[in-house]
Amino acid sequence: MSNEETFEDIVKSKLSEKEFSFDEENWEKAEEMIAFFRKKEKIKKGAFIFFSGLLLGIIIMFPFINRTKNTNPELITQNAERAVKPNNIDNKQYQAHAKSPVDLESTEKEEMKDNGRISSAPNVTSSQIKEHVSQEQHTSTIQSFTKKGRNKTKFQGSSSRERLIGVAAEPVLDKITSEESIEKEEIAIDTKVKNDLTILKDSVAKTDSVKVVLVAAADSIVKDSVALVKKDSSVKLNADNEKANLAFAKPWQISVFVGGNYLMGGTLNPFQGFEFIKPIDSAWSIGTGLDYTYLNIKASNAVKTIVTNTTYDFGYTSEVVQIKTNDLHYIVVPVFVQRKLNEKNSILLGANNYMLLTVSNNYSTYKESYGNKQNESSSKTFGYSSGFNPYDIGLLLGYKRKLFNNISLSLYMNYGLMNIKKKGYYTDNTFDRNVSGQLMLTYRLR
Amino acid sequence: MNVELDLITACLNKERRAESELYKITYGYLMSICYRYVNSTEDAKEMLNIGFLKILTNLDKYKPEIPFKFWIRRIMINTLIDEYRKKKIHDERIQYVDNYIETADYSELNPVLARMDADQINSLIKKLPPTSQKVFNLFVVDGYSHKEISRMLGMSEGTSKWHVNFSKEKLKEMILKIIPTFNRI
Repeated sequence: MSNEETFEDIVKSKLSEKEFSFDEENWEKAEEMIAFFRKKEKIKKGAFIFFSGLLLGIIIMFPFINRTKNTNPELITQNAERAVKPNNIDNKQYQAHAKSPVDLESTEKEEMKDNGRISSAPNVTSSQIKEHVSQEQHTSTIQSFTKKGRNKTKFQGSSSRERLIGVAAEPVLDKITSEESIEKEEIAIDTKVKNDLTILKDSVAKTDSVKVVLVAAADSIVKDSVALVKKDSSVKLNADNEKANLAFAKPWQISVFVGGNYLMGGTLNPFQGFEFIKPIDSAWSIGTGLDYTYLNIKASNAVKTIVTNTTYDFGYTSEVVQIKTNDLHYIVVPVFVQRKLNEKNSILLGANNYMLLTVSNNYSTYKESYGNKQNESSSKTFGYSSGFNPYDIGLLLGYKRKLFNNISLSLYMNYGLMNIKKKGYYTDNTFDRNVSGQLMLTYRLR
Repeated sequence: MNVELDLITACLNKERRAESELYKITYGYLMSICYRYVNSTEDAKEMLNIGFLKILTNLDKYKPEIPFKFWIRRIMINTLIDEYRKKKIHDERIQYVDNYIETADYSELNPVLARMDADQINSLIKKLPPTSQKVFNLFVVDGYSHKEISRMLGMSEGTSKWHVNFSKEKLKEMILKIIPTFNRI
């Protein structure tokens, strides 16, 4: 201990003197902990990938599932009204007509009051319509109108109603004009004209009331038509919904299929499994499945070489283990949406979720000395999957053609989104995605 | 402690044999760190396993230009501090000091310290309050600065300095008490 050494230096050096020998028991605990952690991580990762695939499938499906028909009653009413509304009625007129009879009556009354033509608006009933018809005959009494009377009865009102009445009275008044002789009797019948004018006023009022009644009747017809169209739309909509519900109420269709899986650049391998399809309406279905396949990845050059021991005695001799992976065995869970193009043809779009079951390898051991292999022995094994990603997601695109009642031919394409090999594990570090095609014969069980 | 890059690569590939080898190599060193921060050997072993798991899971972030020993020490200490923060008793009295200037002289203790062994010194450190113990270990033994300690333990630099001084004072008191025993030896 030198004199310059501080309190801190001495404590530090003393504490570093402490030695601990390896504790095998603690390593076993650590190993358990590591295994548990990795298992948990694997489950987490698997769940993440699986649910990502599921989500991808749902996202692809969503626009199709969500294509519900518009059941907004207001929209139906608008459409119905648009369908009933006559072409020759402008919007303003139509809106007035569309008012209820009571509203219309009050509006008309107010309008008439404003024009100062009548002191009170008529109450319109069906009997008044009949009465109006009889009043039409009353116009003949106006034949005795004088020229003066004509001038008095000529309506120059600005409203359409006044113009209408004026036009209605025109033929009668023209007839009056032609009778020159009546002029002489003008003074004598002055009182009578006054009376006739009163009658004419009444007639005008009644004509107005008849118009109101006609408008109300038209409105009633429009409303009835709207109600009918609404009812019709509703019935149609209900029928559509019923149809969709019936389609959705259909049980899951279960099919079994066998076929071949061709990995691009690899070989053709068997592909088999079950498919579950649920119709959501007459054209659309959603589906999933449980399939098994294996991918031959000989072309990917997944070779792991491990030198287990090297002895140096007049040179060197290494004991080498070489694991060459041939096939990756997968369980596949597809999630897809299917569109029926016609009775025989359908297409589908979705995602494939791949889960690595196991790996088959060529396991060989040999001794190597300066590049020469000796005592080579090899066998086929399963396992050694550390170099591969345990999960994969692929985009799925498919076409189906119905051959017979329960048998169809399917052609699927898978485009893998992940690398099937783990990065950095193999010397050949290329990105290998699962781009494969499957041709299958499907038999519908129910 | 010498850890080859190949061994690290093998651990990255999750080779069990390599992991066991790494554990064996680093055990003594990591244990000496854990031993200073926790009160029992059993706790130290448990903490070591937690720290080792973190080392394995973060191995892909290791850069070969940094000595592996320093890297694993940092991970181990961070693990210990994290665990301490999790278990920290909230009603522990914490002194907040804005600025602290150390003036005391501890040179008189040096001859006694030199005659003590690691366990004796460690047992004295463990008698310190938990936070002071951690700050003392971080500053005196592991060489962290007050700034780093203040960040790690969520305190001011002044408080960190206060803890170091408080620990030294307490250790001085304890050492002075045992001097007669040493003199007899």
